[in-house]
Amino acid sequence: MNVPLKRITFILLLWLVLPAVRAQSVEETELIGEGNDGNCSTPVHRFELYDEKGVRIRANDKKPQPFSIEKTCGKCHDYQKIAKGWHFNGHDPEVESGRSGQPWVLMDSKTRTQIPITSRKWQGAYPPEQLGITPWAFLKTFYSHFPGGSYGQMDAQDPDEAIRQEISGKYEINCLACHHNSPQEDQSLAALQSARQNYRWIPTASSGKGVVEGVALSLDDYFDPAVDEGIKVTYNQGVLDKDDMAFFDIALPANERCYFCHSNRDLRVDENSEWTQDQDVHLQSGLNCIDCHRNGDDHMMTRGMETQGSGKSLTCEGCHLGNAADLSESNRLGAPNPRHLGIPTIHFEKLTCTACHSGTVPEDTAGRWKTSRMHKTGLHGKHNLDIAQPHLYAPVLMKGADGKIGPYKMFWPAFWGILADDKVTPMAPANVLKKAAKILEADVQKEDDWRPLTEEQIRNVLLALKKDDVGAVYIAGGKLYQLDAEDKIISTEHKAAQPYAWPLAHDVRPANQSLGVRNCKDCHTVDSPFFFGKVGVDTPVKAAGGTAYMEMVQLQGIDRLYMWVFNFTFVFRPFLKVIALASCALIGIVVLAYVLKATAAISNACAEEDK
Amino acid sequence: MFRWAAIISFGVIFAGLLLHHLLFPCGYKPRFSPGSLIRKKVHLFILLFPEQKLSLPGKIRKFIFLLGLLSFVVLLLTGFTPLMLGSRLAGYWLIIHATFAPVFIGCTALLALLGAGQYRFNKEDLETVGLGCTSSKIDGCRLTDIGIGAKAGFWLLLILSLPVTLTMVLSMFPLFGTHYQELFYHLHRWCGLVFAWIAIVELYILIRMGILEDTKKKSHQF
Repeated sequence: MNVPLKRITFILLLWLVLPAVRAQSVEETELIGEGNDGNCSTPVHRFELYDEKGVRIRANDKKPQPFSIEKTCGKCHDYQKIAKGWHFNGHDPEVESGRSGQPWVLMDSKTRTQIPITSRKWQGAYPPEQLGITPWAFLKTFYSHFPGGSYGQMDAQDPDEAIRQEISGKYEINCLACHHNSPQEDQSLAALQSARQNYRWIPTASSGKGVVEGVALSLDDYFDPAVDEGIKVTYNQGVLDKDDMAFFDIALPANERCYFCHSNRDLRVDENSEWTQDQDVHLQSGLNCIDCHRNGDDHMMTRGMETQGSGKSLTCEGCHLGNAADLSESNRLGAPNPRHLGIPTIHFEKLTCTACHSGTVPEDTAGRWKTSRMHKTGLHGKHNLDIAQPHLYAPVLMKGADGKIGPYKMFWPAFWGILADDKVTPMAPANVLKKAAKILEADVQKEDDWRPLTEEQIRNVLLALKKDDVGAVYIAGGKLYQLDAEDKIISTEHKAAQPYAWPLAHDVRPANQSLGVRNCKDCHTVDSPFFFGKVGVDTPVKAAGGTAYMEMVQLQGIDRLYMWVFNFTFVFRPFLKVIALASCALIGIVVLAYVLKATAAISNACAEEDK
Repeated sequence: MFRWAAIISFGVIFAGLLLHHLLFPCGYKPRFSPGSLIRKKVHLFILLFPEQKLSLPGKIRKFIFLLGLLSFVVLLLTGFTPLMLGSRLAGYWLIIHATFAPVFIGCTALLALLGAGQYRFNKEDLETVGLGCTSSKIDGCRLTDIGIGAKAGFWLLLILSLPVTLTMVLSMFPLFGTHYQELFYHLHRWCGLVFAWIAIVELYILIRMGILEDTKKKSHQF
């Protein structure tokens, strides 16, 4: 090869490679919302709006389209990276699940079903696909407190669902639900739009930037959004300025934003007395949720778990205990060191911090609670719901997967399933109804929110299911019901019937309201709620004798007799202290007396020798 | 570490006492005949009972000693058995341990009050330490030799019983935080271990003293 040819080849290669290198570097630096240049101020978010096709939205558009979060926010932020964040990766079973959390709960009153649903590998919960729940059905069922992304952006596989998805659009991650600092941001309205299946219109409506009129749910399958007048968007006056730019008050999420999906209510507290209750002591002290539950660009927020890798110091221990090895990890956020005066250290091995410090103070019977996600609270208007089930119990002091006793929220699963290899696979309620709708009469009067079920009914349903589904069982109230060889109903205990529970971390009480702050008898008495508090066994199966209860000690993996005897010994604790201190005083006096006597004898002996 | 320290130290102590007993036997001959072994056991058992000649205070002291001894054995077993088995003092072991602890310390205090005079050091002890013993020998053992050991053991046990007890009792009051709770816990364990060593040796000495005294009496009778 001669020199000109080499040169031409080199230039040609350079010409081919350079644009690629340049494009890559442009791509890397293009997303101005990524990374951090060290400036701590919040950037002003004045930007262009784009619809889901990437077309810019302008003030004088004749038929304005709803703005797309992916296309608009994605201009500066890595949407795909955020989509893998903790709030949006619930559909992905490959993601590290972490400790058990609050699942979605599929309720069906006709089949007496309440079953925890999640794709995360949480003990006692079932993936939606096992119950025949498609992503589209998931969205329809759990629409109200859904952050977008995940199931909301998965392509519908079923042709009928695909048609509806074409009309409704996809439920993109709604960044504004958390980050829009405007008081106009309305998650209740987002839930309403979601109930109407106006998925692609949700951010436009809930942000208060525009008004959305129309209901996708009521539109015909043949509706063509490109041609037909179906859902109308009107941007509010001044949302788009003369440059067709929109301003959004974007900030780190405020506590109020978190609360929409992460609120709890103890039903023992009358709704008119809520004002008498205190918030979490950390919030009262001026902290925000995100001070501990932080995340980077990947939105993998720290959950405050001691076992979690990143952000390990953002835990109770991380902030409240010193770290001699790393000063920067010591007493973060100015957290005070606990004194724990008179608390034997075994408590820290056997109990979580929250056992003594979190939730409401344990009472004789665990209370019933509501959570915003499970009971769809916080919806104001026509779509307000007063959902009573699942009956959630808290604080239940039980042993967790980490081997420590802590406060939990729990409910009793109830569902029909197939037992094979000692493993229960749940059946979709619709499949049960197909075969046993008549037996599971729906118009029966409710008792304690359940439509009651007799053992005879269970037997008949199992007989009906038996024809096609060998090994059909019913799970409820901690029991597994099945037919024996003679088709008689029998009930046994089974792992699948165990209550589904997840840790209760908040609200944290002030130190002076912690268990043990008064004395040992806060917990160590023969009738202390901590060990002997009762938890209702919730079931539609009505047995003679009324509601059944179980004691917390049964959920703590501790022998009841032992715990009772151990707690009983605390009656004698004052005597032990008195006897031991008096004995020590006596021994001390005797020793001291003879030491003095010996001193005198030595002194005398020396004096005699001198003589 | 503590577990192995306990296992090894108890092994060493029991082996040492056995070796000592074999090298420096006292009281009976021949040592290994079946009759001798049975007789020894019966004798040890009888030592547990109050002697008929004892006065009322003597009987009370003996009773307190036996109760304290029983409590000590229970505390030793409940305190170290779980440890030897690789677990920790918890559950029913802990309940029994805590039940017998006040009995033991109460007995120790009463024994201190009633027995301190008997166990005080005197001129003879000083001679034993400094000038050699002048008292009579029985089967190669000198009563005063072991007597001074018993006295030293008595006072050491009394002194050690204070940290053993106080480390647990004070930790029950809302006075000390986690650091001191940890410290007290470890002090209790180590002081308890040293207490157990000395108590075992003390018991061995007392038994030998009892046997020697009996033998001495019998030799005077015949």
